[in-house]
Amino acid sequence: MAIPHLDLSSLRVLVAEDNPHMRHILRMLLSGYGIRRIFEAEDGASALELIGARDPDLLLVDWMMPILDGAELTRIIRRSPAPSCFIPIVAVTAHTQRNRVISARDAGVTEVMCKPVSARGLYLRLANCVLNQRDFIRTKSFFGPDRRRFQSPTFIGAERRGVKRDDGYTLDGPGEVDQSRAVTKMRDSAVS
Amino acid sequence: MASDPTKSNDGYEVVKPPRDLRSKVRMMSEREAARFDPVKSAEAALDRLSGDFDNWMANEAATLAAAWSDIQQKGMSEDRCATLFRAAHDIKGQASTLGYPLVGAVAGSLCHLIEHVPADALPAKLVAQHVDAVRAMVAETAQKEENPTARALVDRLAEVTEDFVARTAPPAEPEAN
Repeated sequence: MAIPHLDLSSLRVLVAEDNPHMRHILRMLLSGYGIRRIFEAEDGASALELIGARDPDLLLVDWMMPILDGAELTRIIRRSPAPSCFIPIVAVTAHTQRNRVISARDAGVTEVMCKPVSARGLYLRLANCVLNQRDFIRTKSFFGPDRRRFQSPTFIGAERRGVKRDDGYTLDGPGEVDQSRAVTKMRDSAVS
Repeated sequence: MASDPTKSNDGYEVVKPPRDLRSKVRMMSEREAARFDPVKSAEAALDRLSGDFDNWMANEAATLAAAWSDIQQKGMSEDRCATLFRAAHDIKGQASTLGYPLVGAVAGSLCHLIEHVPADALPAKLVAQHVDAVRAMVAETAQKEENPTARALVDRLAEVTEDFVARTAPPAEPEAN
């Protein structure tokens, strides 16, 4: 599948990652994509401050950070009354087990990037956050991007997620952008 | 929350995010796309950084060794075990990107052990073998997956760890949907 070539230079991205080496790698990848405004936080608390101060468009969150980990940070952001509660969050994690990925989804992340991080894998997730922005769902126990990536017209019942099935979440794959859909939406609405 | 729901249904609300990120990006023209491939550009940026990777990997291995040394000197505690796990987990996540996939596999095996065996029941010898393997493989830059000695070491450590976990770990909780 061809990857859409996007001019991402206007995006503001915040990287919350405690490990300096991984932070450096993520920054290099983002700047390689052409993103110019990249902010860095060494922990979840600093990330919260930077969200308020810099108003990023996207957040990359290491799932395992001291003090405030990725799950806690995500929940705080999603529960916030500020507009930043809608920020797309890409969880970057070395945990690859399915239950961990589902747990991240249930905390309210938009995408999961399982390490090792690759230039292509991260780009596809960012592109998906931008081009296929999902509506948010609010229930008694959840606020975050719609966890059902795909409509299922044949499903009958109240709790589709209660049924064991492939719900479109890839565990280790790139979560490829459906380019035809992405490009169509892009042409419909992008500002040149 | 900050925005009004666009529609309500039984038990849940659907809310449209107020910021449409598509307005902040632009699809490149064919000419631009021919000149600039974001993924290739990022790969090239990573490649320029790769001269530092051996030093970074050595730092990560030293952090892991220090965490284990601390446990050996002061005894096991929840905090020290968490520090050891974090060091192993960092290596597990980064090693492949830094060009050391086999080291990542050893660190992954150590993470598996720490995650599934209570801290006070962790087998010191097996933990030490993991730490030593990481250090040795990094020191000898045994990063290639086809390195037969390193491969055999990785496989053996994974096998012994899996066996230990199977005998020791409490039964896993059923996976949540």
